[in-house]
Amino acid sequence: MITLENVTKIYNPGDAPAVKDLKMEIEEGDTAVLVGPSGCGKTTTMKMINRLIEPTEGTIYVNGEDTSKVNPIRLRLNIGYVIQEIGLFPHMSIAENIATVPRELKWPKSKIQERVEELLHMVGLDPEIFRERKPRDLSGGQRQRIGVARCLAADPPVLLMDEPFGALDPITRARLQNEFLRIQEQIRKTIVFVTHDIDEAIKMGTKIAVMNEGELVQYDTPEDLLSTPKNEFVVGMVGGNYSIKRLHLKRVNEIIDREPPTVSAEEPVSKVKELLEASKVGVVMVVDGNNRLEGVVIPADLKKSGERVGEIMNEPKVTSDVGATLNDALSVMLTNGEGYALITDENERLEGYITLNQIMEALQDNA
Amino acid sequence: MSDLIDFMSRRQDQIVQFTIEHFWLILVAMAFAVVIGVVIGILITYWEPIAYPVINVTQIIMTIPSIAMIAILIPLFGIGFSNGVAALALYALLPIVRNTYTGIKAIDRAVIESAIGMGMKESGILLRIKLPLALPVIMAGIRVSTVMGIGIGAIAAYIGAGGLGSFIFWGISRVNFPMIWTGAIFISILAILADVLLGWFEKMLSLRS
Repeated sequence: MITLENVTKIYNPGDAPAVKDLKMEIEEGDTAVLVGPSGCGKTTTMKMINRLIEPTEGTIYVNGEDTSKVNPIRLRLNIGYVIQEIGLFPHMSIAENIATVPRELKWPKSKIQERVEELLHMVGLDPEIFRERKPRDLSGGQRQRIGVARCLAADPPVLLMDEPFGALDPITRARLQNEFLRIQEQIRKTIVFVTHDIDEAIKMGTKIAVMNEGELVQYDTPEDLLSTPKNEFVVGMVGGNYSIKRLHLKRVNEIIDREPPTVSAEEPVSKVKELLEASKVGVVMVVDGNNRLEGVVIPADLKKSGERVGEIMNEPKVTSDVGATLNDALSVMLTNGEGYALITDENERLEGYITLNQIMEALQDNA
Repeated sequence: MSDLIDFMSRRQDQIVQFTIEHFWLILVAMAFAVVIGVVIGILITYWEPIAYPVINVTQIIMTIPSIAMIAILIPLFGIGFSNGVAALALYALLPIVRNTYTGIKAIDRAVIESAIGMGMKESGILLRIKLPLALPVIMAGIRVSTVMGIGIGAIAAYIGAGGLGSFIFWGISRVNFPMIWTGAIFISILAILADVLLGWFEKMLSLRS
């Protein structure tokens, strides 16, 4: 748990405070997202928690301890830290990078090695391939994953994340957000997450703290923030499209249809014809023996010549993953101009599908 | 030309001896310069207001004519080897101090911030992050200093510090041109070798990081 008690930060005497009399409580296991325009004090607030910046006034408690009375090194070793630029050490291997905090804590070598493997698996990178690589050999998304793995290395109860997915392209960002949400479901850390992107805040946060000019404007759950914005500033921040924003709050697995019409590529085309006629969305999914998605068949494909399904199927383009939000799924549908999205798990196995109608129904339920 | 070859073949032993003396002079001087220069370079990264004044002082030292420098140091070091070492070490400071300072300052701010944010101690950050990352730049400074020092080192023979400069001074006083040429050629060879070797080392370091 993190408590900020009347915290104020004034950088230079006489200047307007960067953070003004902030009172905030972050419950254990919560992801509190600090959101606001640049210069609103969100990053300053976050950096005061691990004492990269010292508050001018007020007290910050992390798990009951007054941080000003704790040795800053000890404090920081118990708080994971990721920033947008990640700051991986370019001269060290990925394994050495991840091992930074365990090494500071003087863990035995074998324990460090084990932990590095475990973390690489957790962030979806094969240790055999990545352990010895240098940061420069990695893509932006992979580096960001290493950043996350590194901050989790010593299993700190609290994480501070400053726009950790900010520098990525939208597709990679959405994927990493979903992965991180999946990880957080297992590890249940207390997280302070800074972003300027309200959509990201709604998606990632269990609580959102809207800040402006150093003050906390509203601190609420995403649902309450959307339904009862406190003032004009929050309304402006959230934007007009409440219903669209709500799509960030629901996940694909809440409305997924888990009984998709499927065939195997070996089956005759006639089989697919029946299924297509019965299908609500006019698409049949082709899977292999392990339920891995191989392709799709739409009515137009029936005109193609071929006896087996495998000969007439198309590549599946409209896919999204189980952890995705309805917003992610909708954007996939719109990009491809289709009324459905196929949902796969992390191993490309078909979980089911959702349709545009389902998304619209979900929106009406919420309203 | 034949005079020169003749001289060299007659004085082989002396050439070897002077080259070793010269090499030793540079080695000792550079050892002092690297330790002092890197320490000063590190210290001024922690105390910004004096960084440029300190670098400027090392720059002024470099503009002192080498003959004058040796003379100035006589009261402190007398004449001979230690005077030569002191003079060369002082000349070598600027590139090393400046490159250590800029090498550390040029490190990506995010790298340092994340190291601090994760709870690394300053000593650990210096030894494991800052110095390894600044090393190629520091090494470039050491290379410039060394090559320069090998040239200036000739002057040290004037106060009896030995080395290849001896050929040059003797040659001048005896109007013996093959002797002067021998000194000049072997100093150049030493400088070129040092440049190539340290350059290769510098490249290895920057490839590694």
